[in-house]
Amino acid sequence: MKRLSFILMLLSFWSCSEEFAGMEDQIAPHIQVLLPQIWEAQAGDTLHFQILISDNDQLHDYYLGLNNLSEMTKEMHWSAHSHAQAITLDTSYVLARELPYSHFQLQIEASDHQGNVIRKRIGIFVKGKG
Amino acid sequence: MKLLLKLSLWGLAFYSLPLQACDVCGCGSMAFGMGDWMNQGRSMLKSSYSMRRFEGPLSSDRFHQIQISGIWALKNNWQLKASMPYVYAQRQALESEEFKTLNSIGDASLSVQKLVWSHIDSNRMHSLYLSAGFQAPTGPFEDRPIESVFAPNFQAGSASWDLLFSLQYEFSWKKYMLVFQSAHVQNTTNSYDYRFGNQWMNSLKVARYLKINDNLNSMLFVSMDHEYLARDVNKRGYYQYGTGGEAWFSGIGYQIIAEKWSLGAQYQFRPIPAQGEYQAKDQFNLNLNYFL
Repeated sequence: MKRLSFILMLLSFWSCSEEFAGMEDQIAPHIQVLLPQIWEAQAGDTLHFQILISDNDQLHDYYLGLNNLSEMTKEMHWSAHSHAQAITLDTSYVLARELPYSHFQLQIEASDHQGNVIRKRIGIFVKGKG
Repeated sequence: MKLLLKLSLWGLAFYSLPLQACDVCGCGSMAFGMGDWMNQGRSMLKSSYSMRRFEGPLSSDRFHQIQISGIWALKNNWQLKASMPYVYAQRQALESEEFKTLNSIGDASLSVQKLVWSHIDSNRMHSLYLSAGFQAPTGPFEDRPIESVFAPNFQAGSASWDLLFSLQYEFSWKKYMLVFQSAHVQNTTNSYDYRFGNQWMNSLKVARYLKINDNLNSMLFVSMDHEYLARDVNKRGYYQYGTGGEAWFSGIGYQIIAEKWSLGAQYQFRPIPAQGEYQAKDQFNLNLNYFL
Protein backbone atom coordinates (compact mmCIF):
# COMPACT_ATOMS: atom_id res chain seq x y z
CA MET A 1 0.00 0.00 0.00
CA LYS A 2 2.84 2.32 0.91
CA ARG A 3 4.52 1.49 -2.39
CA LEU A 4 1.32 2.16 -4.33
CA SER A 5 0.88 5.51 -2.61
CA PHE A 6 4.38 6.47 -3.54
CA ILE A 7 3.81 5.54 -7.18
CA LEU A 8 0.54 7.46 -7.30
CA MET A 9 2.17 10.47 -5.73
CA LEU A 10 4.91 10.34 -8.31
CA LEU A 11 2.44 9.98 -11.18
CA SER A 12 0.37 12.89 -9.97
CA PHE A 13 3.49 14.97 -9.80
CA TRP A 14 4.21 13.97 -13.39
CA SER A 15 0.86 15.03 -14.67
CA CYS A 16 1.36 18.55 -13.35
CA SER A 17 2.75 20.04 -16.51
CA GLU A 18 1.53 23.56 -15.91
CA GLU A 19 4.16 26.23 -16.22
CA PHE A 20 3.64 27.95 -12.92
CA ALA A 21 5.36 31.03 -11.53
CA GLY A 22 5.97 32.74 -14.88
CA MET A 23 3.85 35.61 -16.22
CA GLU A 24 2.57 35.94 -19.75
CA ASP A 25 3.46 39.36 -21.08
CA GLN A 26 0.14 40.91 -22.09
CA ILE A 27 1.17 44.52 -21.73
CA ALA A 28 2.03 46.51 -24.84
CA PRO A 29 5.11 48.72 -24.94
CA HIS A 30 4.84 52.32 -23.78
CA ILE A 31 5.55 55.32 -26.01
CA GLN A 32 6.53 58.62 -24.46
CA VAL A 33 7.19 61.62 -26.68
CA LEU A 34 9.83 63.77 -25.00
CA LEU A 35 10.19 66.22 -27.91
CA PRO A 36 8.63 68.21 -29.43
CA GLN A 37 6.42 69.60 -26.70
CA ILE A 38 4.55 71.96 -29.02
CA TRP A 39 2.83 70.46 -32.02
CA GLU A 40 2.95 73.56 -34.19
CA ALA A 41 5.80 74.71 -36.39
CA GLN A 42 6.71 77.23 -39.07
CA ALA A 43 7.87 76.35 -42.56
CA GLY A 44 11.66 76.24 -42.43
CA ASP A 45 11.76 75.03 -38.81
CA THR A 46 13.54 71.92 -37.70
CA LEU A 47 11.34 69.37 -35.98
CA HIS A 48 13.32 67.61 -33.27
CA PHE A 49 11.86 64.26 -32.24
CA GLN A 50 12.93 62.49 -29.08
CA ILE A 51 10.83 59.46 -28.26
CA LEU A 52 11.23 56.95 -25.46
CA ILE A 53 9.87 53.47 -26.20
CA SER A 54 9.88 50.99 -23.33
CA ASP A 55 8.44 47.62 -22.47
CA ASN A 56 7.83 45.76 -19.25
CA ASP A 57 9.99 42.90 -20.58
CA GLN A 58 11.53 42.98 -24.06
CA LEU A 59 10.82 45.05 -27.15
CA HIS A 60 10.74 43.41 -30.53
CA ASP A 61 10.56 46.13 -33.16
CA TYR A 62 9.53 49.73 -33.61
CA TYR A 63 8.59 52.13 -36.38
CA LEU A 64 8.79 55.89 -36.81
CA GLY A 65 7.09 57.68 -39.68
CA LEU A 66 6.38 61.30 -40.57
CA ASN A 67 3.52 61.82 -43.01
CA ASN A 68 2.57 65.01 -44.82
CA LEU A 69 -1.18 64.55 -44.88
CA SER A 70 -1.73 67.65 -47.00
CA GLU A 71 0.45 66.31 -49.79
CA MET A 72 -0.17 62.63 -49.00
CA THR A 73 3.56 61.97 -48.89
CA LYS A 74 5.70 60.04 -46.45
CA GLU A 75 8.64 62.18 -45.34
CA MET A 76 10.21 59.76 -42.86
CA HIS A 77 9.95 56.00 -42.82
CA TRP A 78 12.15 54.12 -40.42
CA SER A 79 11.86 50.81 -38.60
CA ALA A 80 14.30 48.79 -36.56
CA HIS A 81 14.58 45.69 -34.43
CA SER A 82 15.58 45.72 -30.78
CA HIS A 83 15.41 43.31 -27.86
CA ALA A 84 16.15 45.96 -25.29
CA GLN A 85 13.75 46.93 -22.53
CA ALA A 86 13.87 50.63 -23.51
CA ILE A 87 15.25 52.71 -26.36
CA THR A 88 15.27 56.42 -27.16
CA LEU A 89 14.79 57.59 -30.72
CA ASP A 90 16.43 60.90 -31.42
CA THR A 91 16.05 62.36 -34.88
CA SER A 92 15.02 65.53 -36.67
CA TYR A 93 13.32 66.72 -39.83
CA VAL A 94 13.76 70.06 -41.59
CA LEU A 95 10.55 71.57 -42.94
CA ALA A 96 10.98 73.18 -46.36
CA ARG A 97 10.91 77.02 -46.37
CA GLU A 98 8.40 77.21 -49.19
CA LEU A 99 5.98 74.82 -47.52
CA PRO A 100 2.37 76.01 -47.57
CA TYR A 101 0.04 75.54 -44.58
CA SER A 102 0.20 71.77 -44.00
CA HIS A 103 -0.93 69.00 -41.73
CA PHE A 104 1.77 66.54 -40.74
CA GLN A 105 1.39 63.39 -38.70
CA LEU A 106 3.97 61.67 -36.54
CA GLN A 107 3.38 57.91 -36.57
CA ILE A 108 5.01 55.66 -33.97
CA GLU A 109 4.50 51.92 -33.52
CA ALA A 110 6.17 49.41 -31.25
CA SER A 111 5.70 45.76 -30.42
CA ASP A 112 7.15 43.27 -27.98
CA HIS A 113 8.01 39.59 -28.37
CA GLN A 114 4.55 38.44 -27.36
CA GLY A 115 2.92 40.42 -30.14
CA ASN A 116 1.56 43.22 -27.96
CA VAL A 117 1.45 46.32 -30.16
CA ILE A 118 1.02 50.01 -29.48
CA ARG A 119 0.37 52.66 -32.14
CA LYS A 120 0.46 56.39 -31.65
CA ARG A 121 -0.34 59.14 -34.15
CA ILE A 122 0.11 62.82 -33.39
CA GLY A 123 -0.87 65.68 -35.67
CA ILE A 124 1.53 68.56 -36.37
CA PHE A 125 0.24 71.81 -37.81
CA VAL A 126 2.76 73.69 -39.96
CA LYS A 127 2.17 77.39 -40.69
CA GLY A 128 3.22 77.98 -44.27
CA LYS A 129 4.67 81.05 -45.94
CA GLY A 130 1.62 81.60 -48.09
CA MET B 1 15.14 -19.38 -22.10
CA LYS B 2 15.46 -17.63 -18.77
CA LEU B 3 19.14 -17.20 -19.40
CA LEU B 4 18.44 -15.61 -22.79
CA LEU B 5 15.90 -13.33 -21.19
CA LYS B 6 18.34 -12.30 -18.51
CA LEU B 7 21.09 -11.78 -21.06
CA SER B 8 18.94 -9.54 -23.22
CA LEU B 9 17.70 -7.61 -20.22
CA TRP B 10 21.22 -7.36 -18.92
CA GLY B 11 22.49 -6.16 -22.27
CA LEU B 12 19.89 -3.49 -22.64
CA ALA B 13 20.22 -2.52 -19.06
CA PHE B 14 23.72 -1.33 -19.67
CA TYR B 15 22.74 0.89 -22.47
CA SER B 16 22.33 4.46 -21.33
CA LEU B 17 20.37 5.87 -24.21
CA PRO B 18 16.83 6.39 -23.05
CA LEU B 19 16.61 9.91 -21.86
CA GLN B 20 19.55 11.54 -23.41
CA ALA B 21 17.10 13.86 -25.09
CA CYS B 22 16.85 15.25 -21.61
CA ASP B 23 20.55 15.15 -21.01
CA VAL B 24 21.24 18.30 -22.94
CA CYS B 25 18.39 20.70 -23.26
CA GLY B 26 20.21 23.72 -24.49
CA CYS B 27 20.23 25.41 -21.17
CA GLY B 28 21.61 24.94 -17.73
CA SER B 29 18.84 22.70 -16.51
CA MET B 30 20.13 19.47 -17.89
CA ALA B 31 18.73 16.26 -16.59
CA PHE B 32 21.95 14.37 -16.42
CA GLY B 33 21.75 10.71 -15.83
CA MET B 34 18.04 10.34 -15.46
CA GLY B 35 16.38 7.21 -16.66
CA ASP B 36 19.36 5.05 -17.43
CA TRP B 37 18.68 1.46 -18.04
CA MET B 38 20.16 0.33 -14.84
CA ASN B 39 22.35 -2.65 -14.51
CA GLN B 40 20.30 -5.10 -12.52
CA GLY B 41 22.32 -4.78 -9.41
CA ARG B 42 25.83 -4.48 -10.80
CA SER B 43 28.19 -1.57 -10.36
CA MET B 44 29.68 0.13 -13.38
CA LEU B 45 31.45 3.12 -14.84
CA LYS B 46 29.85 4.87 -17.79
CA SER B 47 31.02 7.37 -20.31
CA SER B 48 28.81 8.87 -22.95
CA TYR B 49 28.91 11.46 -25.68
CA SER B 50 25.81 13.31 -26.90
CA MET B 51 25.38 15.79 -29.69
CA ARG B 52 22.23 17.89 -29.88
CA ARG B 53 21.12 20.88 -31.94
CA PHE B 54 18.41 23.45 -31.23
CA GLU B 55 17.04 26.35 -33.15
CA GLY B 56 15.44 29.40 -31.58
CA PRO B 57 14.04 32.59 -33.10
CA LEU B 58 17.35 34.42 -32.63
CA SER B 59 19.98 31.73 -32.55
CA SER B 60 21.11 28.27 -33.50
CA ASP B 61 22.73 26.12 -30.78
CA ARG B 62 24.90 23.06 -30.94
CA PHE B 63 25.73 21.09 -27.79
CA HIS B 64 28.41 18.44 -27.31
CA GLN B 65 28.43 16.74 -23.98
CA ILE B 66 30.67 14.13 -22.43
CA GLN B 67 29.42 12.59 -19.24
CA ILE B 68 31.17 10.31 -16.79
CA SER B 69 28.98 8.37 -14.40
CA GLY B 70 29.42 5.82 -11.68
CA ILE B 71 26.70 3.43 -10.59
CA TRP B 72 26.98 1.52 -7.37
CA ALA B 73 24.79 -1.39 -6.41
CA LEU B 74 23.49 -1.21 -2.86
CA LYS B 75 21.48 -3.64 -0.80
CA ASN B 76 17.80 -4.46 -1.29
CA ASN B 77 17.64 -3.50 -4.98
CA TRP B 78 18.82 0.05 -4.41
CA GLN B 79 21.37 1.73 -6.65
CA LEU B 80 23.24 4.99 -6.33
CA LYS B 81 24.33 7.00 -9.32
CA ALA B 82 26.63 10.02 -9.60
CA SER B 83 27.28 11.89 -12.86
CA MET B 84 29.51 14.69 -13.96
CA PRO B 85 29.07 16.20 -17.43
CA TYR B 86 31.41 18.31 -19.49
CA VAL B 87 29.77 20.65 -21.98
CA TYR B 88 31.08 22.22 -25.13
CA ALA B 89 28.43 24.31 -26.87
CA GLN B 90 28.21 27.06 -29.42
CA ARG B 91 25.42 29.55 -30.05
CA GLN B 92 25.32 31.28 -33.42
CA ALA B 93 23.26 34.46 -33.61
CA LEU B 94 20.97 34.33 -36.65
CA GLU B 95 20.91 38.08 -37.22
CA SER B 96 24.65 38.62 -37.07
CA GLU B 97 27.97 36.83 -37.33
CA GLU B 98 28.35 36.77 -33.55
CA PHE B 99 28.74 33.51 -31.69
CA LYS B 100 29.36 32.42 -28.13
CA THR B 101 31.02 29.29 -26.83
CA LEU B 102 30.56 27.37 -23.59
CA ASN B 103 33.36 25.08 -22.54
CA SER B 104 33.18 23.79 -18.98
CA ILE B 105 31.81 21.23 -16.59
CA GLY B 106 28.03 21.14 -16.21
CA ASP B 107 25.82 20.40 -13.23
CA ALA B 108 26.69 17.23 -11.33
CA SER B 109 23.88 14.95 -10.25
CA LEU B 110 23.27 12.31 -7.65
CA SER B 111 20.31 9.95 -7.65
CA VAL B 112 19.05 6.72 -6.19
CA GLN B 113 16.99 4.09 -7.95
CA LYS B 114 15.04 1.18 -6.60
CA LEU B 115 13.55 -1.87 -8.21
CA VAL B 116 10.12 -1.65 -6.64
CA TRP B 117 8.47 -4.55 -8.42
CA SER B 118 9.48 -7.46 -10.60
CA HIS B 119 7.89 -10.62 -11.85
CA ILE B 120 9.46 -13.49 -13.75
CA ASP B 121 7.73 -16.50 -15.23
CA SER B 122 8.76 -19.03 -17.87
CA ASN B 123 9.48 -16.57 -20.70
CA ARG B 124 8.40 -13.16 -19.50
CA MET B 125 9.92 -10.63 -17.16
CA HIS B 126 8.45 -7.43 -15.75
CA SER B 127 10.34 -4.82 -13.77
CA LEU B 128 9.42 -1.42 -12.41
CA TYR B 129 11.98 1.08 -11.18
CA LEU B 130 11.58 4.42 -9.48
CA SER B 131 14.32 6.96 -9.22
CA ALA B 132 14.85 10.29 -7.52
CA GLY B 133 17.77 12.60 -7.11
CA PHE B 134 19.05 16.10 -7.42
CA GLN B 135 21.31 18.18 -9.58
CA ALA B 136 23.86 20.46 -7.93
CA PRO B 137 24.92 23.85 -9.37
CA THR B 138 28.50 22.89 -10.19
CA GLY B 139 28.47 24.34 -13.70
CA PRO B 140 29.08 28.06 -14.32
CA PHE B 141 26.20 30.46 -14.88
CA GLU B 142 26.77 33.89 -16.45
CA ASP B 143 24.28 36.56 -15.47
CA ARG B 144 23.80 37.99 -18.96
CA PRO B 145 21.17 40.57 -19.98
CA ILE B 146 17.73 39.17 -20.73
CA GLU B 147 17.62 41.02 -24.05
CA SER B 148 20.97 39.64 -25.22
CA VAL B 149 21.06 37.20 -28.12
CA PHE B 150 23.16 35.15 -25.73
CA ALA B 151 20.36 35.29 -23.19
CA PRO B 152 20.59 33.60 -19.78
CA ASN B 153 19.11 30.38 -21.14
CA PHE B 154 22.41 29.48 -22.84
CA GLN B 155 24.52 28.16 -19.97
CA ALA B 156 26.60 25.20 -18.90
CA GLY B 157 25.14 25.30 -15.41
CA SER B 158 21.76 26.23 -13.98
CA ALA B 159 23.05 27.78 -10.72
CA SER B 160 20.11 26.10 -9.00
CA TRP B 161 19.44 22.94 -7.06
CA ASP B 162 17.07 20.88 -9.18
CA LEU B 163 15.11 17.72 -8.53
CA LEU B 164 15.14 14.64 -10.74
CA PHE B 165 12.48 11.95 -10.88
CA SER B 166 12.00 8.98 -13.17
CA LEU B 167 9.93 5.89 -13.61
CA GLN B 168 10.88 2.92 -15.76
CA TYR B 169 8.95 -0.17 -16.74
CA GLU B 170 10.59 -3.07 -18.57
CA PHE B 171 8.95 -6.05 -20.16
CA SER B 172 10.86 -8.81 -21.91
CA TRP B 173 9.54 -11.73 -23.87
CA LYS B 174 11.66 -14.28 -25.71
CA LYS B 175 14.19 -12.24 -27.73
CA TYR B 176 12.30 -8.98 -27.40
CA MET B 177 12.19 -6.26 -24.86
CA LEU B 178 9.96 -3.25 -24.33
CA VAL B 179 10.95 -0.36 -22.11
CA PHE B 180 8.87 2.64 -21.12
CA GLN B 181 10.47 5.51 -19.28
CA SER B 182 9.15 8.74 -17.95
CA ALA B 183 11.34 11.40 -16.37
CA HIS B 184 10.81 14.81 -14.91
CA VAL B 185 13.20 17.59 -13.95
CA GLN B 186 11.87 20.13 -11.51
CA ASN B 187 14.00 23.24 -11.72
CA THR B 188 14.14 25.89 -9.05
CA THR B 189 14.85 29.61 -9.23
CA ASN B 190 18.55 30.32 -8.97
CA SER B 191 20.33 33.06 -7.05
CA TYR B 192 20.17 35.31 -10.14
CA ASP B 193 16.35 35.10 -10.10
CA TYR B 194 16.34 33.05 -13.29
CA ARG B 195 14.52 29.75 -13.50
CA PHE B 196 15.01 27.21 -16.24
CA GLY B 197 11.86 25.52 -17.45
CA ASN B 198 10.93 22.12 -16.09
CA GLN B 199 11.39 19.14 -18.36
CA TRP B 200 9.25 16.11 -19.11
CA MET B 201 10.45 13.15 -21.09
CA ASN B 202 8.66 9.99 -22.16
CA SER B 203 10.30 7.21 -24.06
CA LEU B 204 9.19 3.89 -25.51
CA LYS B 205 11.70 1.42 -26.88
CA VAL B 206 11.45 -1.97 -28.50
CA ALA B 207 14.60 -4.04 -28.74
CA ARG B 208 15.63 -7.38 -30.17
CA TYR B 209 18.45 -9.49 -28.87
CA LEU B 210 20.99 -10.65 -31.51
CA LYS B 211 23.75 -13.04 -30.58
CA ILE B 212 27.11 -12.46 -32.29
CA ASN B 213 29.13 -15.30 -30.74
CA ASP B 214 29.67 -16.94 -27.36
CA ASN B 215 31.50 -13.88 -26.04
CA LEU B 216 29.59 -11.08 -27.71
CA ASN B 217 25.93 -10.18 -27.69
CA SER B 218 24.15 -7.30 -29.27
CA MET B 219 20.87 -5.41 -29.27
CA LEU B 220 19.07 -3.63 -32.07
CA PHE B 221 16.34 -1.26 -30.99
CA VAL B 222 13.93 1.37 -32.23
CA SER B 223 12.49 4.12 -30.11
CA MET B 224 9.82 6.78 -29.93
CA ASP B 225 10.43 9.67 -27.57
CA HIS B 226 8.57 12.78 -26.57
CA GLU B 227 10.26 15.72 -24.93
CA TYR B 228 8.68 18.80 -23.43
CA LEU B 229 10.75 21.72 -22.20
CA ALA B 230 8.77 24.36 -20.34
CA ARG B 231 9.69 27.99 -20.83
CA ASP B 232 12.23 29.66 -18.60
CA VAL B 233 11.20 32.47 -16.28
CA ASN B 234 13.47 35.51 -16.28
CA LYS B 235 14.30 37.85 -13.43
CA ARG B 236 11.44 40.18 -14.38
CA GLY B 237 9.03 37.33 -13.79
CA TYR B 238 8.11 36.84 -17.45
CA TYR B 239 8.63 33.79 -19.61
CA GLN B 240 11.96 34.19 -21.36
CA TYR B 241 11.68 34.73 -25.10
CA GLY B 242 13.23 31.93 -27.15
CA THR B 243 12.75 29.17 -24.59
CA GLY B 244 10.35 26.24 -24.31
CA GLY B 245 9.72 23.59 -26.89
CA GLU B 246 8.27 20.22 -27.62
CA ALA B 247 9.45 17.48 -29.93
CA TRP B 248 8.83 13.89 -30.95
CA PHE B 249 11.76 11.70 -31.89
CA SER B 250 12.06 8.41 -33.67
CA GLY B 251 15.30 6.59 -33.14
CA ILE B 252 17.35 3.59 -34.02
CA GLY B 253 20.28 2.20 -32.10
CA TYR B 254 22.63 -0.70 -31.72
CA GLN B 255 24.72 -1.98 -28.88
CA ILE B 256 27.45 -4.58 -28.53
CA ILE B 257 27.86 -6.21 -25.14
CA ALA B 258 30.84 -8.17 -23.85
CA GLU B 259 31.41 -9.55 -20.38
CA LYS B 260 33.21 -6.46 -19.03
CA TRP B 261 32.16 -3.71 -21.39
CA SER B 262 29.49 -2.52 -23.79
CA LEU B 263 29.51 -0.04 -26.66
CA GLY B 264 26.39 1.50 -28.14
CA ALA B 265 25.16 4.24 -30.45
CA GLN B 266 21.81 5.79 -31.22
CA TYR B 267 20.54 8.29 -33.76
CA GLN B 268 17.26 10.13 -33.23
CA PHE B 269 15.36 12.18 -35.76
CA ARG B 270 12.10 14.10 -35.74
CA PRO B 271 9.27 12.53 -37.74
CA ILE B 272 7.24 15.74 -37.38
CA PRO B 273 8.44 19.32 -36.89
CA ALA B 274 9.13 20.43 -33.34
CA GLN B 275 6.91 22.99 -31.63
CA GLY B 276 7.72 26.01 -29.50
CA GLU B 277 10.31 28.75 -29.50
CA TYR B 278 13.27 26.47 -28.85
CA GLN B 279 13.11 23.57 -31.27
CA ALA B 280 15.17 20.43 -31.00
CA LYS B 281 16.85 18.97 -34.08
CA ASP B 282 18.23 15.50 -34.73
CA GLN B 283 20.54 14.09 -32.08
CA PHE B 284 23.21 11.46 -31.67
CA ASN B 285 24.51 9.50 -28.72
CA LEU B 286 27.48 7.20 -28.19
CA ASN B 287 28.37 5.38 -25.00
CA LEU B 288 30.96 3.08 -23.55
CA ASN B 289 30.44 1.24 -20.28
CA TYR B 290 32.78 -0.73 -18.08
CA PHE B 291 31.36 -3.19 -15.58
CA LEU B 292 33.00 -3.39 -12.18
